[in-house]
Amino acid sequence: MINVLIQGLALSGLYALLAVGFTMIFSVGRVLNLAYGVYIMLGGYMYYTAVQVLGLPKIGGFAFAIASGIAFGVLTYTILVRRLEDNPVAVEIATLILAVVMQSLIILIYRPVSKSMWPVVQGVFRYEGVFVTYNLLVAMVVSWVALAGLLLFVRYTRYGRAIQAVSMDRKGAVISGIDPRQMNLATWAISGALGALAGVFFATYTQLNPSMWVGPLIVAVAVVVVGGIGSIIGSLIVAHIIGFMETFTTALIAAELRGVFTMILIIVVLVVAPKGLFGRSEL
Amino acid sequence: MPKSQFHRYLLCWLAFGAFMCLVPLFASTGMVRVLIFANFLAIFAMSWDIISGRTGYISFGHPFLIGIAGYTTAILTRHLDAPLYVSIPLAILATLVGGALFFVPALRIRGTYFALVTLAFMELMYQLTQVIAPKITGGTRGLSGLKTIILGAVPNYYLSFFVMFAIAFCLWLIVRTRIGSALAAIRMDEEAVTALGLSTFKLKLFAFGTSAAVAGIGGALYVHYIGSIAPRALFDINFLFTILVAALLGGSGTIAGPILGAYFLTFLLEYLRPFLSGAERYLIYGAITLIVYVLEPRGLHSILERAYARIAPALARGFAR
Amino acid sequence: MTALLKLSGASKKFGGLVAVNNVSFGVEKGESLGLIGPNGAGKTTTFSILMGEHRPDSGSVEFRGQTITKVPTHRRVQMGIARTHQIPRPFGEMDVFENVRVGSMPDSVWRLIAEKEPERDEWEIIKSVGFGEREAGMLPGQLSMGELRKLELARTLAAGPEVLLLDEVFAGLTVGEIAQLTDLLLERKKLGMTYMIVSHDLRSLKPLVDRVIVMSFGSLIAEGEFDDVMADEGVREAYLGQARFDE
Repeated sequence: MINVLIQGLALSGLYALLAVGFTMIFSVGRVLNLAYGVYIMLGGYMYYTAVQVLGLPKIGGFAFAIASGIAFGVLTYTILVRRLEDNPVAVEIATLILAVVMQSLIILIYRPVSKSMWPVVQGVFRYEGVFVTYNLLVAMVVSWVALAGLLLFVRYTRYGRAIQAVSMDRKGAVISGIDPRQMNLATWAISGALGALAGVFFATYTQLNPSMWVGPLIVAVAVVVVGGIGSIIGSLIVAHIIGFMETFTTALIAAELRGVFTMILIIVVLVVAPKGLFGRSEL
Repeated sequence: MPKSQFHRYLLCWLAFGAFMCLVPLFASTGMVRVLIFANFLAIFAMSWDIISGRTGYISFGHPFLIGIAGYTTAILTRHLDAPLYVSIPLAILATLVGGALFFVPALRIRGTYFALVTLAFMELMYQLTQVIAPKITGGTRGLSGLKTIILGAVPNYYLSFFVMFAIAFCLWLIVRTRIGSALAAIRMDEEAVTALGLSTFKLKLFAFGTSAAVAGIGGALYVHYIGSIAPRALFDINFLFTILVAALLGGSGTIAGPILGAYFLTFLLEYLRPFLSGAERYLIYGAITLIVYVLEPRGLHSILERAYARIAPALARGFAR
Repeated sequence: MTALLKLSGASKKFGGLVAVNNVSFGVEKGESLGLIGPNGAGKTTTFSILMGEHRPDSGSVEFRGQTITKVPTHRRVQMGIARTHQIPRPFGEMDVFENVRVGSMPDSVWRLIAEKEPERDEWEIIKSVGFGEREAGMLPGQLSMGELRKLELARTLAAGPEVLLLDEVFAGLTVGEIAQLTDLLLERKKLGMTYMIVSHDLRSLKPLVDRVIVMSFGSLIAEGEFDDVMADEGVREAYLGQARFDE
């Protein structure tokens, strides 16, 4: 039982990191980026390419993954989203199409087969019936550090506060001399970086394959739907609800049903409480 | 709509129908098979468009509706040995009832969240068909060796074309009436429609019902054409993507648009086959759609219409001379 | 005489803000009631409560002696209450004629499909607000603010209301347009139309209304004939620095 709890805690940490980039874009730009799963996939594949194909050190793999995440985030925003910006529905459709395009591109380059990734950190932590891979534990720690860093950045730096201002009141921010487009661009870059970072760990946790972007996207969607917007803490709580739910389902019911409850959670929350559990403006 | 315009459109429909009837006379069997897929895709795209293109409630769950119909008729014919004239109507009914169970509560949710909920329906269905009662649904591998309605490429072509054409024509007759405007008004400002004394729920329900019925007809006939059904082929983002791309590329909010899009995609695929096989075609589909969508959200239909508007006066002058 | 449309003890809170606080009033058939007050007094919220767009936290709405507090908006419109919006909300991709046609649609899917549309009524309404054939074919994006207000009014009239709630009909209109609109509204009044009018433009409001009520910070602070209300100390105080009505 303790084993399940620890596993759940570790997985939840990873999910929190997975979701936070998606939540950020939603709270700042008020659009849902369904291509977000691609950043995660990209992170995994780029790390794989750098470390397992080119033989670079791990740190180089991370740098490569994060850089491509940032680049792709910035490109998505400037090429696609900015042109459709005032229409969230159009952005939703376009980013879904983009996600499938990127999936095809990955198939084209890496073939449609699954690839397994070496864990970032080898070994398994064992103690009195508890066993968790070091990899997942490291993922959790990295998550916490990244999230804490993000929180500090948003709260205490000028730039972070400007981003927060746009998310609270776009017009008000404009009046105060903040350029919302620039803040949006920064958000998409950060989101790409966080997604790619999370992607490296997610890929080592599961596998690399061209459709791996769907699962994390649904987790991120669930976090936004259930947790509401604008709150990093709120996202954290919901990420833990989902992480524990999945771990318990896998351990106690059946591994195949893992995702089912996440889906049901999304449906039930949206249908029963369209305004969200923690209050949410209509979109 | 003025009378003359009505007659002109009617003439276009008839010309299109007549031309497509003649196609098997000069097209190869391979081409005819390609067109069958185009017809089915057109049915699915029209089904999507009647709710999403008209009312602006974007459904990411259409494979879910198509899947209900497909699985119902597949299970009925496979396990109960039901004849097709029983199983297909039942499948359409099941799509309406089953779809209503999920979609109707969701119709309260506006904008981007409706799309998310319907996407969740599809993914939920994908996972459930594999886990629950695999003996009946065939689990991950699905069901194969299903009855076919008729054999041969050309008869199947005519069947798929006539069904597609009949659906398109009926939908056209429906949306040219005031209901077409009412549904479009919901897309533009739902609250304003309510403020004019119309129950938007009733209108959305009508759009959903029509969409589900069309999806049901298409889904049931489709599985009996290809003879098999499997969760990964059906409840898949790629399938949703193809439907969406056909409707958007052709021009959403019209009847001719989704048909145009479906034919365009299918022919594109045919020409690309020597260069790109398999899943890579989605790259080309998606890239083209994104470009068109960003430049002209109303799709090829609107581009052609504007081109016609520019050319028509010149042509008329040419004839006058 | 009993009121045609009546609000009794209605209150509405948004979070901590009391938008409408225990407000009661009635409009009689054929009467024209002005609703005035400074910005944020709760006038638009009052309209929303009457229309059923907001449920009041307490209190009730009655129409023809029947309680309609829980009746949904579209039903109220069918019963004969309709409103215009402060910011016009035209259907952007439809021309003026089509916009008005949506207003006159019956709430029945079957009738929308099967019935041949009688276009004469729509034309009559379009002409009555001062649009010509040319404007009828224009898209809302091509119209001026004044024309957009006329479109909003025409579309709402097409829904066939008995009581019409007008929210800031005069804002952004030229003097000529105001005069034209006033004539139109007065003409309809003679035919038995009942009005409730919110306006900041008191000068334009005066000839239209039989009686006014004044709201401030969510509460009703005065009620009576236009000139009497304007002479009221409390009203003057509420309005100080807002609008001024000197004649």
